[in-house]
Amino acid sequence: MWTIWKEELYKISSRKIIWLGVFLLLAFATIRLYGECTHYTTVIDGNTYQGPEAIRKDKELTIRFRGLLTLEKIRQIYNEYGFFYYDADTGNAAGNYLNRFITEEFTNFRQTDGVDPEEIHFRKGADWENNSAYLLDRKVRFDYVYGWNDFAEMYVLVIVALFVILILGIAPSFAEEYQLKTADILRTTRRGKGAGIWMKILAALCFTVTLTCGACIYLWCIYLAVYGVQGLDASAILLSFATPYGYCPENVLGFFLYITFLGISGAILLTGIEMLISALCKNSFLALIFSLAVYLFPVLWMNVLRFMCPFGQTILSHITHFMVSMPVYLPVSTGFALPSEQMVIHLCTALIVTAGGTYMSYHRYRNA
Amino acid sequence: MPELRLDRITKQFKNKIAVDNVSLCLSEGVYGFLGANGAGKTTLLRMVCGVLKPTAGEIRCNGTKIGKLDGDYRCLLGYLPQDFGYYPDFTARRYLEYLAACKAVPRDLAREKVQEMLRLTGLSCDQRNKIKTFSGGMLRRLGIAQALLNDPEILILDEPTSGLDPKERIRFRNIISSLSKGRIIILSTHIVSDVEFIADEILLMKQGRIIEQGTVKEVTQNADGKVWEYLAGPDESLRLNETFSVSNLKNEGDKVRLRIVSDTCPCDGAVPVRPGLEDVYLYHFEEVSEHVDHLERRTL
Repeated sequence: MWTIWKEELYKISSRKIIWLGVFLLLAFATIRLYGECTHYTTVIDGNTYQGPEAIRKDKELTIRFRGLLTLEKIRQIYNEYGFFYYDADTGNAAGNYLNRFITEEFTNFRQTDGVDPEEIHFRKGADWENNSAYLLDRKVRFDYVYGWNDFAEMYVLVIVALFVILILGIAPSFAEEYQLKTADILRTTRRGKGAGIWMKILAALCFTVTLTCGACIYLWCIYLAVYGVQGLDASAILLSFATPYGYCPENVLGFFLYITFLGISGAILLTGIEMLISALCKNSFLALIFSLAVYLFPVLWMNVLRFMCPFGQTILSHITHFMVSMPVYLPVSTGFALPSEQMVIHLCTALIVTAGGTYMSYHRYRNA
Repeated sequence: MPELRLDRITKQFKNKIAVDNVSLCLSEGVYGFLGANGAGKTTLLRMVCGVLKPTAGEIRCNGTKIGKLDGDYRCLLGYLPQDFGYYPDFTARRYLEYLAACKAVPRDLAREKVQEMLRLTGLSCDQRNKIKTFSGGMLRRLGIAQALLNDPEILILDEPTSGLDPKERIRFRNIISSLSKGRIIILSTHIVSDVEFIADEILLMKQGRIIEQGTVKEVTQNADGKVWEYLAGPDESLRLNETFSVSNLKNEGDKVRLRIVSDTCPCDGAVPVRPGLEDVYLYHFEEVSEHVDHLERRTL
């Protein structure tokens, strides 16, 4: 069994295009982080800092204000550093992490063009209640989370692209056996119609989960190297990627563990779907095209088709939730502000689709 | 020793009946399935292997349906398909070790068995080479090696010699002969010489049916009086060649010696000769020219 599993894994991993794709993706993430790091600018007490030094200065500056976010701290930051804005002449940011945070979260900054500090003022009345008050009401633990915000953005990009690469790797799993005409030989062997098929599925599963975990670990490592561990115990709702309305873990570390879990769940779901498509298609290329279409269909649904849907609201809502449970959205579904009960339903849907896809692929290949 | 029994096996693909009501009983020996392309040989063998399910009828091994035996039946099986599939980037050894694992050959024994098969098929020196670098002959030998890995009691070889040169073909025949003891070997081919010398029983297939079955001697005996030899002049030989099925044609000085397959004496002076398997094959499978359609042809 071990030999079959090992060889099935070898078949998948010997596709050079996967490694090229992974290399390009991680190289892109690294280069982007490097660019982000070198262009990072902060202005503290009239002095402008750039690059890793600027990050260090901002982190040091934040230490004084970390902990429970209060109105007093906001006022203190404003008194010391004023509002954040962009220099009208150079377009450069004029401010640091602290005043940028209070300007973006507690003022009308986003309603202005951001270049005139005179125009910027704290939100008032309903505007304050609706858009800012929750940060004070929820007893937010404040810290430096700039890097983790960037990490979240990068994570979404990497996961979506990584799944496309995974499709390239696992979509041919069964289809290739038909195409290479090895299916007939395998299915006349003792294990070829039973455990051999499960080993193939298990190898694909191990491959997708390992690669997803590997990519996540790599991202963690490079971001930790640049930004350090500061901010991991801050409240997760400080991240622009996390919405305060749906389910959101308590702190940043919890949030990232949660989205990593969703990423791995997405990878497992992707494997189940890919196995079925692969068992249905007699040609690797066809399996690949079909897989990509199925992977991207929820995007088409969410952006186009659901607005044209002739069904009633209930059916439409069910279909939409189903689409959000699919691999393209599941790892990033924190952005949909879904309550925890709904997230459980989505994960159960993913589990059922995975189990169904895997079971059907087994029988389809066995009896094809 | 297993016994395979095919009971009224039929396979229909949409409107085409590929195998039509075939009943057979196979025990130890080499069985040569002869037939033209499209006769239904491959479909029948794929059903025997359990790759295809018959539309009607059943296949039993030692009295039990092969579907019920499932893995236990496949344990007895060695199969070389017509289109031998392989992984181009695998080395020969890796490929065989992988298939040995699929065939549930114990790990310790598998390495030994792989080396034995590589030796038997003359691929020992190439075991570390990627299969994509192999010639057609080497690929067929690798195919035979994989089929034999589990020491099968039922060995099914579908067109095993296609694409092989005469030397490779002889080598293959010798391998099969050496393996025939204690097994059922089913060999499908449209090349008569592949089975003429090694098959214990010949089965002629045409349009999905077994039209003739027996030892080479029995099959050829049935064709007694249907094969003629005649020494003809050039013009006459041309006419006879167009009119009858000619299994051999040889120039002898200014005359031509023809070997003609015909139910009746093709011309005055033609003498009946002892038929060979090739003559029988020709009798059944040669298409007759349109202008001799009037000649009544009967099955033997």
